[in-house]
Amino acid sequence: MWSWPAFFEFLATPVMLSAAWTTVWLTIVSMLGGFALGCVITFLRTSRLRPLAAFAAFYVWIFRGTPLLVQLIIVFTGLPQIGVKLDAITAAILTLALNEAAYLSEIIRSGLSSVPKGQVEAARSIGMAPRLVMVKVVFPQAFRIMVPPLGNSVNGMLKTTTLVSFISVTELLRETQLLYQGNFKVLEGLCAAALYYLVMTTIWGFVQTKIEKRMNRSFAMDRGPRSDRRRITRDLELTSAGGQR
Amino acid sequence: MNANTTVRPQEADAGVDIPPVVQMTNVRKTYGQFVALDDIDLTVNRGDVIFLIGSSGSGKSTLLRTINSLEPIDSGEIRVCGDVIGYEGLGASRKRLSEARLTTQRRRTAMVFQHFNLFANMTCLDNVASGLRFVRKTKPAAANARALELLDSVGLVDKADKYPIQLSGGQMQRVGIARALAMEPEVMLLDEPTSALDPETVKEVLDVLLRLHHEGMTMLVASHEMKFAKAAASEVIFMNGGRIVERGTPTEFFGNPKTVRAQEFLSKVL
Repeated sequence: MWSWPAFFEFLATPVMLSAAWTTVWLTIVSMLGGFALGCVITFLRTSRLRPLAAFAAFYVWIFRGTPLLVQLIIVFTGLPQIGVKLDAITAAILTLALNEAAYLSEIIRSGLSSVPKGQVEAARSIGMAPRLVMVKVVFPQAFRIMVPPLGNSVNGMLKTTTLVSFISVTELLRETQLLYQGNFKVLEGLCAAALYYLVMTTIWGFVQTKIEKRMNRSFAMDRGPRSDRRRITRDLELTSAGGQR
Repeated sequence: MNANTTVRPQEADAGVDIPPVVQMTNVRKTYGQFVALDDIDLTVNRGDVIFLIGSSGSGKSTLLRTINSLEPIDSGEIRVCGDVIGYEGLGASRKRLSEARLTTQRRRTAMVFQHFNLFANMTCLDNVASGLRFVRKTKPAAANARALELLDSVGLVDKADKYPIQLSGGQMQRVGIARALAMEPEVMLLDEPTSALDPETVKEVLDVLLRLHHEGMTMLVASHEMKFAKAAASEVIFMNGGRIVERGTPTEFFGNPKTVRAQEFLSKVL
């Protein structure tokens, strides 16, 4: 029998809420780590030094070609055999980030290559150093292209974190399991957990739309001036009114 | 900057007060089998406006890009204000400069591109101010003020807040020119600055260039704008197959081209 009170109890339990928070920060930390590492992989992949490029390709091949669950268990349960002992949460974040980096490097690479080469040349021609060109010109535009696939990855990561329950990290799924093993309300517990995930991915969807809108600002034809720029224009009108005009 | 700005002793001894802004000697560049530039000799003095004319693939763009060391050269020598561009050492033992040194050298030459290449993520103001802010390390307020002056000088002060996509081609190119001017270059290298523009907007860009000429700006222009050439050019250079085939004053060249190749070309273009 389905019990509504049990279902609502699952929803309202503070432990579920705090477990959901664990899921959220696991997602955030793993994505940030994965993105940073993904940038490194992309950089290595485009390196002129063959061994580095080969290493990056090998890395992507391994991490995309094997199941994440297997990677998790290897890192947490397997590595201690050769003396590398990590606690569950460290093993979880490390593996999620390493795995995600392989996928994100592809997103980053395609984002970077979407920026017209002419702008890179223009930046170099006015004397910008390569690093400046990347930071000021290429990356901001590449990031705009990356946002939709990156958002997709965040959505995926929110759900992928369930896998770390296998290595005893008490995130939302494992917390639910612990709870229903006590009261035997299995269906109510899992449905409540599913609803939590749905809410988290939905909220993320809204956030992503906001970010996309913001990123598209400079590409919208009908945009008005940015508020911090209005002042400059006003100052300018004053100057040119008194100046040569 | 220091190593690049010193006047070379032999030039000082020879009594050459001011070296030419650009001096190319025996410059050769190939892409595999394809000879892009062959034995190019070219001197650009202060205030000169030199037109490069020729069909596409004749080497005009490549020539401009080598001066800005966007392209390496196979042999020969390019000097900007007396300093060798892109390399150190001589002959076979010469070495390509590090990217950092190249970056410093590029500050004296500014390029304007056929397709404008404005930074799409920045407003016009930020585009023009970018070199000052990021390269010259000018304070933001001063950089903005200077950028506004420059935008005003190309008649686009009211577009300061706009992003490139909100502008017409002619306006984008004027922003491109202002961005190049912000670096106070010794020479402007303009690569077909009006070729991608609507006929109506060509004039607004040419007016800006003409004004720069009257202010004494040294320019090297790859362009077929005959009227502009006649009004401003000190020399017209006709290129074909990576070589300089003919050179002369605009009146000489357009009125009475000597080589068959130039005659053919002009009959097609005019």
